[in-house]
Amino acid sequence: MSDDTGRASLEFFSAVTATISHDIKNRLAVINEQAGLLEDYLYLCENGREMDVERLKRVAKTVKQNVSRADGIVKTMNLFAHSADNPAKQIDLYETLNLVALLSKRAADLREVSLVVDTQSESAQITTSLFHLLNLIWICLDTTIKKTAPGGSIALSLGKREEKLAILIKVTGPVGDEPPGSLPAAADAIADELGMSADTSAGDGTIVINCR
Amino acid sequence: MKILLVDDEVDFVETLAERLSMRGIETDWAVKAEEAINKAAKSDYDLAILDIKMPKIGGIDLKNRLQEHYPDMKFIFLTGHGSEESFRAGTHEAGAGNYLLKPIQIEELIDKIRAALTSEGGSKDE
Repeated sequence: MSDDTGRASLEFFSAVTATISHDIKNRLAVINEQAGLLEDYLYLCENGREMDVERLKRVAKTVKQNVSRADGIVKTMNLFAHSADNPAKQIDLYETLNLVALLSKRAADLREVSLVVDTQSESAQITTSLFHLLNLIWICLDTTIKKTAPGGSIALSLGKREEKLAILIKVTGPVGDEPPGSLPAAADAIADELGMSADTSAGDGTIVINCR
Repeated sequence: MKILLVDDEVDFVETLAERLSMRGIETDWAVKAEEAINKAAKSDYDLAILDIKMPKIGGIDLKNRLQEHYPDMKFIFLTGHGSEESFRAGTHEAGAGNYLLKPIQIEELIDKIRAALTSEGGSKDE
């Protein structure tokens, strides 16, 4: 593994785990406030105030929703953690795109950009390092998110370029002021390592990752 | 005392505002910076509690915008950072010294509110 790839891996790992811990803290904060509100209501009830049943139902619903969201975050974290289990294994590219979209959701949300994984994409299997492929797609997607205007949308799909299986990352809504430029050097380093290539040669800013 | 609470998590902000109001602290809330700016134009807030990370306009930018129009307004920040160290490394220099990490304890928040409103302007930027 080259120094560039090693550094990019560490940056990827730290960015993803920081985002996940942030997301979990936000769920805990919501649940914590619901528990606090229940305590407040119990105190008031003990002191003679009538219980607001409808409000309590809403508290229970909010707790359940946030436990479910936290569970989803932890499941994503677990998939990410196990992506480094094997140096190379057979992976499903469609599932991989879905996982990257989940890992990038917070960055996209903060920019008010939506991510759409093309459900028309046919599933395709390749054998590669899942962790490094996730890293490569994540860098390409992060580059695209930063260049997409708020309110925009980014489509992740599978396709073919010159008979090769390819991952396409395309802005489908308003584009930001910044023109599509070259990819960070780390993307090239990782793609080289995987025997792939990544470029923006499509002309409209679409990033193409040629898988094989 | 009247405060404005701004966080993009509606379930969090609504409930915390309700709890503060139960304790006699008049609290309005907003889930977007633009909404907060509109509310601030219509009401006289002594203090704003702002989430650091929000879409489009984050808490630090929002503080700067509010402070331009309301120089006496005090600020407390909320953050989902995993630790004080990571928060300080990223944001302290930007003027978010008076902060609490989520999940918060309401008594601690109220102590901070009272301290900010009784101090001699130190909490404007502290």
